[in-house]
Amino acid sequence: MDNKKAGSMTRREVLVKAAVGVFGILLLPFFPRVRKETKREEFLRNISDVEASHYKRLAG
Amino acid sequence: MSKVECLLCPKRCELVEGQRGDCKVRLNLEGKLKTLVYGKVCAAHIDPIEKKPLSHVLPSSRAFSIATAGCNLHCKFCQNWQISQREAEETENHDLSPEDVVNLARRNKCETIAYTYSEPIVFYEYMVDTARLAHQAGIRNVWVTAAFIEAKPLDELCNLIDAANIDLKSIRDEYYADICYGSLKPVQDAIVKAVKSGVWVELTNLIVPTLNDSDEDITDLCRWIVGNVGVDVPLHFSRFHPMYQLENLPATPVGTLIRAREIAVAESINYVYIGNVPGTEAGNTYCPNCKSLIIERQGYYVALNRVGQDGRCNLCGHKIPGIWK
Repeated sequence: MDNKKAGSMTRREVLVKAAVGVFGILLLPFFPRVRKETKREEFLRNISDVEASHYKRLAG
Repeated sequence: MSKVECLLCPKRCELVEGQRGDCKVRLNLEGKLKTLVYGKVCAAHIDPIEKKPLSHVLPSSRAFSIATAGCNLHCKFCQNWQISQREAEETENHDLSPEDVVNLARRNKCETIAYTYSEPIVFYEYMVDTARLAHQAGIRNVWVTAAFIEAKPLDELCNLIDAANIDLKSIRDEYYADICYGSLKPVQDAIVKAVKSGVWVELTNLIVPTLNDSDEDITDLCRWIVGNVGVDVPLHFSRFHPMYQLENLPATPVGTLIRAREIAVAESINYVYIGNVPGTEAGNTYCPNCKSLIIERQGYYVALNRVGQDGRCNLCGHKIPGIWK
């Protein structure tokens, strides 16, 4: 018969959960969070390579 | 920091790295000025040429009409502010190369390609490349513009544009400064240059109640036209509707437009039209020689055309200026 109180964990369960947690944290660097590209960034990435025709570079 | 100066329009924006021009669509990217709207079409329609408005160009023909986002003016009454006053990434765009535009125009039996709706000056490079291809394909180019542009790019453009409808928004510089965030002189210079270059030019004056609707304003505007480009340049008075930042003003009374037309006729302008007012006879063309009705319009629909392909009035033979074949 399980003498564990409802809602409590045995020492073994606590240790297993902690180990899983630590392992998960150690894995995080291998799965970097991908930041979603903004609409503006996506647009600028896709602009044509055409350079404007009437401008000049300014010194300084 | 590599700074650039845009030489396309009289604002001559000086831009540091990463900065955009006043038009919102030209960007200093790593010391090079880039256009953000090349091939990014946010509006494309097949319109009757009468909608541009052009009353002396291939009546009842179809104009393949395109626009991108952006404008180098910021008129408080802008009718197309949803695209003209937006950044290019804020509008819904379709990628259309110049070849695509010409092919679409040809497939849809359009005799002209119109650069319109927003301000085509801000998509200058795209317009020039498309216009060049259009000519090779036997399609004419129509430019609908406020003509706030520098002389050098205008020179190049005039070689490619067949017809233009140019806004002459007012004859007062204060109006251009306060209402449009521009200036008058470059627009006047561009109108004269376009006419002298052989571009067929028609002018549009949007009459806004209380802002540019006085008899003096209209008389001065007409006198400038007569004195600088002559009596044969058609003038369209257009009706203002409450819009954008001028929703507090009423629509232009039809009586004001009729009075403006009377003033223009009295100042000897031969072809004066009233736009945005359905059902008016002032949308028709009358021969200045025999005074007969030669083109009857119902809205944008041409009900009658008595101008021959030789550009002469069928009734008296008087030469009617424009592009007729």
